[in-house]
Amino acid sequence: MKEKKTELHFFFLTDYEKEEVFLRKRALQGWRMEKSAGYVYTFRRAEPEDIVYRIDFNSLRKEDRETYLQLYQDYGWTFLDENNDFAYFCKKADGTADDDLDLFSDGASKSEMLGRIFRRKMIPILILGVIYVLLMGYSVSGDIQNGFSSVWGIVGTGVSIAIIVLYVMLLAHLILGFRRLQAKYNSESQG
Amino acid sequence: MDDKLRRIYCPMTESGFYILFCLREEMHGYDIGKTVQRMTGGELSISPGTMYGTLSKMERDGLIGLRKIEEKRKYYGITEVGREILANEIRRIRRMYVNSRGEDYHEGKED
Repeated sequence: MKEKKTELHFFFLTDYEKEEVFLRKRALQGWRMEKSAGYVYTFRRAEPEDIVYRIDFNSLRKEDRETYLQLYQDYGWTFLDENNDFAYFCKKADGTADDDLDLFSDGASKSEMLGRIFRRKMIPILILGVIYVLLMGYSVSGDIQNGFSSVWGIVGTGVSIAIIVLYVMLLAHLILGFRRLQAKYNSESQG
Repeated sequence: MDDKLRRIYCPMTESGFYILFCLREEMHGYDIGKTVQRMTGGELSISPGTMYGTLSKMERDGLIGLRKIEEKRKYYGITEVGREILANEIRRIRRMYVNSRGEDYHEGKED
């Protein structure tokens, strides 16, 4: 039986709750997450067990990392890996009170984390994306007006258009995600 | 008090109040969490993400200060600004408590 395996999953900025559910499912199937790099997850074989995974987002300075991890360790969380400022923690579900299986105890702090993700990761995506789309859009319309100089010109334009379409789809997914989570955390705050 | 602080911290969130209240003594995050759980008879649990976020924010806003780091744990304590905000919040809670007993509230009156 294989000891380790890797899987590719495209979880984006607003998909961390789904990611947590996915990782817990894998643990129940006997695969514990070890590493997360880019969109590649490394799992190792273990006894099937109900383990809760939680993902936190913090842009920590190097000097703050130690005390941050110690705090979470004090609360019984095991640190697994860090990927793009997202930190992965886990804790056994059996024998743990529900209150202790979450990293956040109120909607306000979940909302603040969402805000950090937005400011730190979404805004650069928006800025770079808008610049790219404007540049590509400009050169694509130029090609269409002036005619294509070769087959590669057509292929290049096709690729640019495809990238723009994918970017817009990602943007829509993220914007909808931010709105959905914000609404969810706001309703939790009023509890 | 700063207008900006007033807008953020009046009123305070429940966990914010308890964290600031505990930090009248020097404490680190997990200790604050255990103390709050005991104080509230188990009714309020502050999870680590909420604790870390609130402590960082209060430190940035000047309500608490980092006193020392021991064995990888940050010990915080309340500042003068923090005391003022806490006093304000306690006054507000007392007002609601007095009113909840069907009495009118008068500022400065001891109950």
